[in-house]
Amino acid sequence: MTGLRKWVVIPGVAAIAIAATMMSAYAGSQSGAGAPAAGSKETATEAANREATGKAVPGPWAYSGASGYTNYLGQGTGRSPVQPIKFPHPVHVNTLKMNCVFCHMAAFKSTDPGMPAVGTCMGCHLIIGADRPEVKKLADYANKKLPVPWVRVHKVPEYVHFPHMRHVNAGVTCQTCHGQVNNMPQVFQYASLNMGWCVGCHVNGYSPAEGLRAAGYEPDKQALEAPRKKASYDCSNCHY
Amino acid sequence: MSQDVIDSTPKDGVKRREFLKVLGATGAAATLVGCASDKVEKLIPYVASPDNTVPGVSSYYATTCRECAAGCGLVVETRDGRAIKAEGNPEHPVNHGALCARGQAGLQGLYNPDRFRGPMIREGGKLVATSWDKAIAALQAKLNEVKGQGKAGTAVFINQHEQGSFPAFLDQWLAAHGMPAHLSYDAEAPLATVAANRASFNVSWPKLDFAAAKLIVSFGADYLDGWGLSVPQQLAFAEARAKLDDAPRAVYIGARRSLTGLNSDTWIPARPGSEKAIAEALLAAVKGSGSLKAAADAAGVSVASLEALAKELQSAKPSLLIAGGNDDDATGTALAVNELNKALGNVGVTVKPAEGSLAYEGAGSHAAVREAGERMAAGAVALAFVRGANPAHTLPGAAKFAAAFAKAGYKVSFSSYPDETTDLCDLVLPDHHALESWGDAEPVKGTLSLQQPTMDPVYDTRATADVLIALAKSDAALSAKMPADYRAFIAARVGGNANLAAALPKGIANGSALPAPAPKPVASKPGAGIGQSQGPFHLHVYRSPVLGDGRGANKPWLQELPDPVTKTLWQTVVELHPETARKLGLEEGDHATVETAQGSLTAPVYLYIGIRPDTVGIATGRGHTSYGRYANGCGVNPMTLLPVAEDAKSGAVTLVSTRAGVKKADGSSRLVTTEGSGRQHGRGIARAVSVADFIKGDLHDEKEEFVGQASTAFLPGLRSPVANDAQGELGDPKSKDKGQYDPNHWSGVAKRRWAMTIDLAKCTGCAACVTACYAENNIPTVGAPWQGSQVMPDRTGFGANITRSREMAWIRLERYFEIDREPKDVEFDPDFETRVIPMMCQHCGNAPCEPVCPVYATYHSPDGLNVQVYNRCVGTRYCSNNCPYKVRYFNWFGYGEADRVQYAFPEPLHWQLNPDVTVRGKGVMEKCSFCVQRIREAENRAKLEQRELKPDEFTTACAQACPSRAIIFGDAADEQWSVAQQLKDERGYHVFEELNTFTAVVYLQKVNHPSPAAATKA
Repeated sequence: MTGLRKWVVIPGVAAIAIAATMMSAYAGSQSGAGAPAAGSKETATEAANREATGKAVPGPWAYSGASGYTNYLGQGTGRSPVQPIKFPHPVHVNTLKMNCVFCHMAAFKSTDPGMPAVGTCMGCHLIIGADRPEVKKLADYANKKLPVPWVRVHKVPEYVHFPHMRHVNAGVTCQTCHGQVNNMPQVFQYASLNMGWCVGCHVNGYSPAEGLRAAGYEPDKQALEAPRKKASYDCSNCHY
Repeated sequence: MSQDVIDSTPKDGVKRREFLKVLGATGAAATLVGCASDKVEKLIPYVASPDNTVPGVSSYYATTCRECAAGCGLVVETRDGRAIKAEGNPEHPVNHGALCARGQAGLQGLYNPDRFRGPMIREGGKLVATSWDKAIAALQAKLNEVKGQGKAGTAVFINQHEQGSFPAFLDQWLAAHGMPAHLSYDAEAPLATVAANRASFNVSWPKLDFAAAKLIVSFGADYLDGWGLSVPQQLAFAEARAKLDDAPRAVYIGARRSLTGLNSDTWIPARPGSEKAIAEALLAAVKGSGSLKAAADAAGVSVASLEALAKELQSAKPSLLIAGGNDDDATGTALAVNELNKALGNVGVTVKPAEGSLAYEGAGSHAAVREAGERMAAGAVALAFVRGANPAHTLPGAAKFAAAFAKAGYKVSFSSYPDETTDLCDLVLPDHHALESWGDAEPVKGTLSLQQPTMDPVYDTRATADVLIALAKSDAALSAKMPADYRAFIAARVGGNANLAAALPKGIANGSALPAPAPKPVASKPGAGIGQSQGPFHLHVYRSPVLGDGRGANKPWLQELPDPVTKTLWQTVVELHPETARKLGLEEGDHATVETAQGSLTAPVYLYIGIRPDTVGIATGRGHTSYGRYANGCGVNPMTLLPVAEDAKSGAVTLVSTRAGVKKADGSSRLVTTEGSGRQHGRGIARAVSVADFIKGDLHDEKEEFVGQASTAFLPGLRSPVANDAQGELGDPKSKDKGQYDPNHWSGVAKRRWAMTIDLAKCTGCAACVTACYAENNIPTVGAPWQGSQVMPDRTGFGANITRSREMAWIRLERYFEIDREPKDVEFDPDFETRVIPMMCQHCGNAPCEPVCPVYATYHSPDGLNVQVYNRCVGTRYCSNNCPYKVRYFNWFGYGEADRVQYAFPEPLHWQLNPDVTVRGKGVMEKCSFCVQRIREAENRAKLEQRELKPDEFTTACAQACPSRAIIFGDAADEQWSVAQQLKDERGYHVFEELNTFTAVVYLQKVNHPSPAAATKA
């Protein structure tokens, strides 16, 4: 390798690394902010969501393009895997006014939010919409006594212990971290879930008003006046 | 020499540093590309949601432990349908919440990767998988055939000895088929003691009240080594020792100082088989007649030692004398000891027949199984059943049980695992594991300890009781007598389903099991006797306190648990006194061949100062040929050396019944041991004080102010200069914002100071805490041959990684002999002191590991923990080098990664993994975390219930399990916690406090009780 070639190779790979780092930092800085950066293009997922719900849905703006940025665990903001059944959160939450914890029944009492059992789905769908193709898929799983193999969207690494109930009981709205799942025909990862993003709230505090806005509500006076809720940021809070 | 040679870099090449730069950047790019692929992970919901469970929240089931006969109560923690931890049931009358290592390791029996997946049938000479319908039909056909031939009376059913209704239930079934009653077999059962107790007190096992005694004398009874009723005895012994200045002195009589011997203050090293002579001579002496000279000569001990004991027996009242030898007249010894107890007025005071245990009720003799083997060899047995027992491994080799069993007409095993006996069977109908089945036990008269499934069966197994019920279906008369299933039977024992449902949460009910059928007496074969056999040494075979008779050998936790005495693991050693080894030209690790008239075996030598020079000791438990991947080929089985020689009165196999020759064999290998040195070298790690000094208050060598006092070292908040450094400005005491290290910080984290006390007066060194820690903290076992490289000849095979000090035990039991010479130079002297000390991360307030970490992966948390952040760790191992306690462990391989050969949790062992604890990756340092996951869980629970933590609300896994109740954990900054009170104990000290580490673990000195004679001499 000549001296000249060396100075081509090193900056070249360095540029890729820097670009990746900047993309990551951008994702981290933007994901909790609540509004897309000015001039950013609508992503494919956003477009699909807009078409499905008839209104613009705040989407994952940290990346655009099909392959996208993923962190080293293979997850990243905007990840939106195709699910075995096209479960429409908007219908259940917005139209039928079902609360999140109706199905994710353990979110306020366990580290694990809980996924509804196939039997829970069938409690309604034995009768309701039994002739629809997606519900038929569900019935098929139920008849075979098989679980629905949902593809996981949100995941923190194994060395992080995230207790859902502490956050839910502290009043953190689900949408603060998960985005407006109630407007997502196909769920995508809304926040980066990286540590800087977590610690941002733990150190600076969670604003109830911002949480309500993230959930699509206009904060009331009480929320606007409420102090930011901080939490311990000691490493061993989550890492053990 | 030319310039070119010195500077070998080609002119237009890349220099090393530049190459690294390029490599680094390329690596980053490769990482980006490599991870662009999405790992698809699934979220699998339940099909139907089970009642009363919350995902991610543990459910607890009370049940009964079946790892030995004692019948301890368990509380099994299950998470999302899987049992993940076994703990003692705090409300159980036997174990009061404690649990031994073997009980903990029951989970690895449940998830054993070598378990039978379903029924097996022999076809073309091999066992092949079959279906339950076919297997039951095959057995049904065989039953009908045998009955048709009129040979049902020849059938033999060997069942593990167990408490509860099942033995009687089984006998009903056998009787209905015209078959004789089953043979109850437990190779570990102390049959001689049971036989003597029956004769003397008309009960099988009186309650032994250690705490009421002033003197405890054991005649070969290893009451802290798993003999008898392991956990209750240890609880009682620790309770007695906790009385400190008022505690009983303990004396051990036996050829080898077992863990019980090491915990005793005086050792009388009697020749094997001479315990009876001593007991009888003492009885005479106590009654005021006879001389102890003959007994002392027979035992090869000094007359003075026996005279001192006789004198002490007369003055120290009440005393507690326990017999538990394994020689050819062990019942004789036990009878003499019972007489001694009567003569000394101990019966009803320390020996309480009225409050006895029923654990050994119905235990059959070993002679009966040997005799059944003889009938099989003669071809007189048409049908043989075996369940939960492995006589081919546990009977003496001379009994030739395996060959005999092979000659039985049709052989059926109900074993869950392949083993030496099951391998010979024609049909295998694998039983559920105890944690998957219904059952009952009656450890105390009138109290039923219930056994219930804690989870759905791991494999396609079936409870034997339910198989018997299914087999009865074809016979209308028998079927009418049978319950619908065994659960219904258990429900009927407690008075119906409603009562059962009410009793299950506690696992205890009033009621009684079907009375255990009395075993039919079988004439025993006394054998030649020790005196008649040839050889310069007594062969002292003893039951391994860890593996027992061998049933624990397929559980890697137990294989990797160092023997409490020898500290060896994954290996059988030949124990010789250094004096003897010198004469034979043997050094530690040299291979020695032990020969008897029955056979020979070769194993490495371990130099043990606690064994008579004319005795060679070998532990049972290893040397399996067919017991799964963790047992096969590991160690040797000393039972092959033993003749058929049974205790005449009880029919117990005698483990000390022959003499042996020892000679040097070729080769030498590094001992597989976790021990660096068995000496303290004046470091004051495990400290003790004599009772005289303790009474005087002369507890510490130096008179300086004791830093462990709660007033100085355990105040909340910023106690750690290192924490200052690690936290930069936040930790600066002059800074306005000390961050979370400020006790007044809004988060309140620094208000707590987690700390632990360990009472060395109670700790016996049993190592139950070690296994509890493995279970709780997902610690990998590393000793299997495939987990280490195979390059060096003396470091291959089982334990290869251990010889490289790669064990991962976060807590270890250090055992120190208080003598200043190295083992190889020691002359025989029975008078030496042993100390044990559990050693784990001391959670130093001023931790040497913290400042050397280049990436802040280890730091001091505001609540007093020395935290290891796995995801930050880059594996420099500086911290481990700088740790004075050597309690940090490095992941040399990816033990937690399923695609590596070193994987420590092969399917389904990984079902046991605690979801609250990270499975560490390769290249990461790990260590005791003070069970931080339990702290956080308790905090989360308290927050959910909108309250503060309650004092002593939770504890660490080691403290929970400890059968001595020696470990106390809690918040030292809150006076209401027990640990805060314990910290004020004047016996307290920190290990290496001269290093100013300000540890959060405080040890309380042991109190020694030298013999009255020795005390006056000093």
